[in-house]
Amino acid sequence: MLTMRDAFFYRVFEHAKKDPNIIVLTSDFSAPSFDCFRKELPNQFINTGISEQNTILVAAGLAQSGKNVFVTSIAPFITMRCFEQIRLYVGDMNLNIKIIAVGAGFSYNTAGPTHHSVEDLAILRTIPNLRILSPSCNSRVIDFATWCVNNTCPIYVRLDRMTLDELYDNINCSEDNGCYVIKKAPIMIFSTGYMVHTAIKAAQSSDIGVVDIYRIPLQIDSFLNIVSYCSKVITLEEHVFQGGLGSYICEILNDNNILLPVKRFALDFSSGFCHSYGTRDEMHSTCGIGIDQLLSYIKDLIHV
Amino acid sequence: MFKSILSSKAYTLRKMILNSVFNSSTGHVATSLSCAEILTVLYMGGVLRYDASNAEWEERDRFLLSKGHAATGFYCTLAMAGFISDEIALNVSSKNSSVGVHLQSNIPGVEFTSGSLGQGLGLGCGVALAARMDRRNYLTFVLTGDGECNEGSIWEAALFAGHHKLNNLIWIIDRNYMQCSDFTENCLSLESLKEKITSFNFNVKICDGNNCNSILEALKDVRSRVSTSPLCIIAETVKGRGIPSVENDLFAHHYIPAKDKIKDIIENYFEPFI
Repeated sequence: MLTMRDAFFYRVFEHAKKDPNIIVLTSDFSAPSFDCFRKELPNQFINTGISEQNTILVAAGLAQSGKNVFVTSIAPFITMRCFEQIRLYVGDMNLNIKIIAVGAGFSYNTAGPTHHSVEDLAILRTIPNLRILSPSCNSRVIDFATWCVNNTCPIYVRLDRMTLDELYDNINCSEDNGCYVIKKAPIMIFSTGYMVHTAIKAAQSSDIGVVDIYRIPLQIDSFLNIVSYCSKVITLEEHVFQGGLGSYICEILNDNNILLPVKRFALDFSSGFCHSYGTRDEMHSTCGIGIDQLLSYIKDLIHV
Repeated sequence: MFKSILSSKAYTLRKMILNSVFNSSTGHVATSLSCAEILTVLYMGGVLRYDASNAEWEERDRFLLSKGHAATGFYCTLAMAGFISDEIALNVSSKNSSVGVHLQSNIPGVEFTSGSLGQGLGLGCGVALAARMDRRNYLTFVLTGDGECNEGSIWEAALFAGHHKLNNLIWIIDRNYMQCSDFTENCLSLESLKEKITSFNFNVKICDGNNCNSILEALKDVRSRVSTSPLCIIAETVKGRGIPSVENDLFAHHYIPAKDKIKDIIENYFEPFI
């Protein structure tokens, strides 16, 4: 099974063979799917070197000149080092640039905080015109790749580094909604990316529902329809509390005058980043978003 | 004859810059005056190819103002070249104005928003690269300040331009030896700038950036270059040029002449630079 990165770029490659306007830039990132570009479409693939600011600027110059530009690198670097370039040229100038970030959350678990991407939603939600796509499995990744090729708006795609189990086999899931109910119940966990899988595991042993939020901003009407039958909202994310998925959902509920109790599970970095290692799930428990903590909360909630 | 006409145009541009500032009481006068001859030569000296009535003409040369705080000077240039009305250039930041003191891309003739320094050269690399990919003959000109060469993104872009042999890219540096709060060599020295940029695989020329003849000479063969390297022109200028009390003064960056002084400045100090 392919990594999300290769699933995405193999699909882009198929489009790029027919469309010379598709250009891929990478800041010294490598992948088997990039080798296809290097070998067969060398004029459509540029390794810009370890220079994320310039990579976004070059992308903006290309996009302003009519190119459909895909930029890819490790998530924290291609979002934070070059945030101002994204803000001004991808966002405000509304250019046709897709930022494909690899390593959402703790994907690079053993690499440490330098490689963890745990603030990207908070930061990039502030960028005008930018859509954020956060797939939870490869079928969504492939859909998103085609969607990115065919649309000219700026898009940020946060891919997991790992291969995640398939959730959407034979499900026709509209990109437009931005969210999908995997399991319906009065108490719902709203999650995204890797953590959707954790939510599903928790829901298997309890009467809890799960919603996959795969686009921000999502379609508000779809979301409001879902919460209309909720008595409690739980949010679960591999992201800091500030400005992430939980914050986003609280903002929507507040702005639509919906009074629902919300429990947020997010990374607790109140005393610093996570310098404790282990498996990704073990690190989740260290930082307060482990399935054990989630199940314990749900158990108490249901018994009360 | 043509060259003295150009100097006269630069004089007109300087007056227009001051008139704009007179109306708005804001903007960056000294940096706009610093590059007045450069803008004049590019837009009124037959260097840039453009169609002011069709700002999006595909074969136009691309000009990117990276030192976006010189927007007042650039808006006035665009007005003189016919891209925008004098009214827009003379009413920067006024109520209901569509332009502020930094450059905005919603104005005809402006390729990119600018105001945060160090961005133009990388943007220019992308534009020049697209021209090569599409086999188009347009040239890409980027005007940066010298102070903004403190930014790492400038040198990332310089590496890129040299590595990719972007010989359709012309980087002009408004070298007035001053930045916001200090002289460049006191703050974060750039010298030896020519040698630094040469080592990034650029061809480098130095000219008098407040002398139209000298700028024209530096740009005269810009379409017939055989070099595979990008071109950099270090244009030696004076910040605040034309107002003796401001020239090379450390307060020049945020200098706004008092309204009752502007008429006096225009009448007594401004002389065409031949």
